[in-house]
This record gives sequence, C-alpha cells and structure tokens, in this order.
Amino acid sequence: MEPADKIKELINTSNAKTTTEADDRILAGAREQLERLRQKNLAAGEAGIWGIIVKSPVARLAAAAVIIIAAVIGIHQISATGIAWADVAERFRTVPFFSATIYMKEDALEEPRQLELWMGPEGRSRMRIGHQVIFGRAGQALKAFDIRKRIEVEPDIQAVELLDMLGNMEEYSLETVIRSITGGKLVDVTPLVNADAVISEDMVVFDALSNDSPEWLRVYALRESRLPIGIRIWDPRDGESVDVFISYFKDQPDLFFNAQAFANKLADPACPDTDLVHIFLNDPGGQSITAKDLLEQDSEIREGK
Amino acid sequence: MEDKLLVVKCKRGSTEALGRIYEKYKTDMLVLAMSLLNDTSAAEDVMHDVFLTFAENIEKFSLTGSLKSYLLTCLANRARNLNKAKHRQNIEPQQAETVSSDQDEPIGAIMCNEQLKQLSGAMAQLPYEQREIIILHFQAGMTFGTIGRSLGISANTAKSRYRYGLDKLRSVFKNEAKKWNQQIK
Repeated sequence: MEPADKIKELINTSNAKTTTEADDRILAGAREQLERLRQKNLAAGEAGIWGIIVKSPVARLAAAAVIIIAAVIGIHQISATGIAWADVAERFRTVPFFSATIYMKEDALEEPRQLELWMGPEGRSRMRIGHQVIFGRAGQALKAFDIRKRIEVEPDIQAVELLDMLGNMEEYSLETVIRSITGGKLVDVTPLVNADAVISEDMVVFDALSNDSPEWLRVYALRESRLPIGIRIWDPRDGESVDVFISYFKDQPDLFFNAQAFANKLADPACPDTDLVHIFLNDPGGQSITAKDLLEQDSEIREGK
Repeated sequence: MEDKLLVVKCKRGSTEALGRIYEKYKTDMLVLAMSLLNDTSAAEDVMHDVFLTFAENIEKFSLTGSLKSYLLTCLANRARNLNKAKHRQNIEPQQAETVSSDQDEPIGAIMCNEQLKQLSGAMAQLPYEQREIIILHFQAGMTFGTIGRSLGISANTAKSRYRYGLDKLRSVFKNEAKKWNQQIK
C-alpha cells in the first residue's frame, strides 16, 4: 500500500476517547470565559434597552424589532387600569397566525430597511430578509433560499439570530424590556387614549419611558379586540427608529411553512421571483390573485384589451 | 447552519452551545493534535488553548466558512507554537515512539485507539514541517495553497515537503512491516 493510502486509512479509522475529567479540563477555561460574558451581557441588560440590543452582533435595529415582538408575545403580569398589558398579550397568544413587517432606520434621514416575518402555530416561522426566504421552527432556521439565484443557501446570519431570539422569547419578556428601558425601575407603563384624534378612541397606546435616556417605546393595540397592531421605538436624538406593523390572518395553508413545497416552486422557472416571496400565503384581502396576476391585469388595461 | 446558531449562542455566553461544538469536533481535533504532537498531555493542552481562545474572542468572532476548518487551523497553529517552544527549551518531543499505553496514562486522559497510536507514531518520525503538511492535507482536507498561506510558505514548498514526508513514511512503513514479519516468524 502506498504511504498516502496508508495514512488516509489510518486517519479514517483513528479514534480517541476522552473521559469526563479530560473534557472538563479542556473546556474549563472556555466555560469560565463564556460565563463571564453571560454575566456581562446580563449587566448590560440592566443599563437600558439599547444595552441589550447592542450586545447583539446583528444589526442593532433588527434585533430591537424582534426583541419588541418577542416582548409583546412574552408579556406577562403587568397590570394597569382599563385594558391591561396582560389582556393584550393574552389575546395575542390566541392568534393562530400573524405577520410583522419591520422597517428600520439608522437615523432620521436614512431610507428604511424592511424585513418580513410570519409566525404560525407550533412555533413555525418564515422570514424574508433581502433576497432570502428562511423557514424556521421553534427558533431554529431550517432552510433558506435565495429567490434571485433560485438555490438553497446558508441562511443569513441575521435571520438565524433573529429566529433564535424569537425561540427564546422568555428571555425578552416585556417586563424585561421595560425594566431595561427604565434602568431597573418601572416608570410609566400606562394605557393612554389619544384624545386629539377621534379615530384613536378605538385604540389604546402603551408607552414605556425612561428616566435615564430619551428613547421611548410605544405599543399600539386595538381597544375592542385587544390586539397589538403596531410598535414604535424612537430615539429623538437622531431619529433612529424601528416601526413594526402587525397583521393577523385566520388560517393559512400548511404549505406556507413548508420549505419543500417552496423549493419545488423555486425550481419552476414559470414562477416569478415576486410571487415566490409570498407563495402559498392566502391573500390578506381575501382575494386569490397573485402579484403576477395584478401586473398582467395592469398591462392588459394599459394595452386597452 | 447549526454551527452558525451555536456560535450565536456562544456569543451570548451559552456553555451548552460550547459543549455541543466540542462534542461535534472533538474527535477530529484529537486525531489532528495527536498526529502532530504524539503526546496526549500536549494534545489536551492545545485543545484547551484553542477553546479558551475561541471563547475569549467570541464577541468579535464571525463565522465565514466552516467551523471545523477554523478549529482545526487554530489547533494546527497552536501545535506549531508548542512544538517551537519545546525546541527552544531543548526538550525534544517523544519522537519515534508511539504513544504510551492506556495503563501508563493519568486518570482521565485521552485514550487513543490502535490506529491513532500507529498514525501518531509514524508521523512522529517525520520532521515537524513535513508532518504538519501531510496531516493538514489529509485530515483537514486543506489544499497546498491554503496550507502554504497559513504557514507563510509557497504552495510549491508545501508540496515538496509533502513529497519528502511521504518518501520518509514509505520507509517507516516498510520497517514496521519487517518488524511485524520478524515477530510472526
């Protein structure tokens, strides 16, 4: 046997075992280091909402948006007069399917960046970020596809982290977020009715303010249905902001969260890129036409057919 | 995909995620470490250092390629430094010896199977620079260009060292076969 083949064979059949003691010795330093990091992150969380967010390696605002969504989902026992946070949260938990469109601006003059998130029962999720559509479950990114290239790809790391944050939403309960904003002390979380606009009588607005910094968080919810429909985070110093629009749907087909069904459509050259983004989603307006259909209708009108 | 998530979790200080990474790549790393150092204590030390450095730099760490390749490259770098340090201290590594038997090892040490003992014993008979290139090429799947870049030498130099190493191994294996035949007789 040639030496190269012999070496290959030895490598392929080589094995080494370690005892728990050896494992502990090897990982001891690294574990201590990560524990220090965890403590540091926890301490940063006490310093303010941006403290939590900046620890994230992904875009600060995207992380902020997802933390806030998770906060609304994870809302617990914050009482208030009239409609309580808990009522809004409880109603939100019963929704089988919702989507959030998130717009993020780095400062007042920047154009916003958009990402879309759909969440369904049993922890299923789907996200569109850039040209990617990512399928997830229980906070894990399972499959990602590039719509422009029409191939399966490694998921955007930002999407991986955002889905993971949603999967660990108990870490980001509203209580945590508000405590963070207020430096450990709940300052003012009161449902307010905006008396300046008649239309707002249908709406309750939850504000969270801080004694220590000018940033604020506002959650908009419907009075009757008690469902949150919008979230805004605003930093008045430079206009950095996150706007989240939440939509609700009755039932969506299982196919919408099915990565294989999506992959099959991706392989179909007749299916336009624009259709793929929302493929299998029941139109929220209750219509069964696609973006492609609309474009075709539009061109027919223009051509006078 | 899983590796990216594990890295993200490590960034948040998850020791569970660190443990999962360790379990996933432990065997590959141990085989590489033993092939390069032929010393279980030294292998354990470099493994410790690789994971410690990984944890120390995790906040700034960005996974652009394969986590396995990253860890194996770090390990090879550490092993090289350790080898240089040993030479500086005039303490020769256990060349031309196979690793000690399990009975001689301290409690809780790394336990190598016969093939790994044979592999590390054979590799220990090569000069370190040849050993490193052969094992990085075969075990870590690195090209000569990549190996050359990480060692600061040209791909051609890496290739030459690889060939010299294989020639030497040919005689090592021949001698082993002779010894084996004599034992049978």
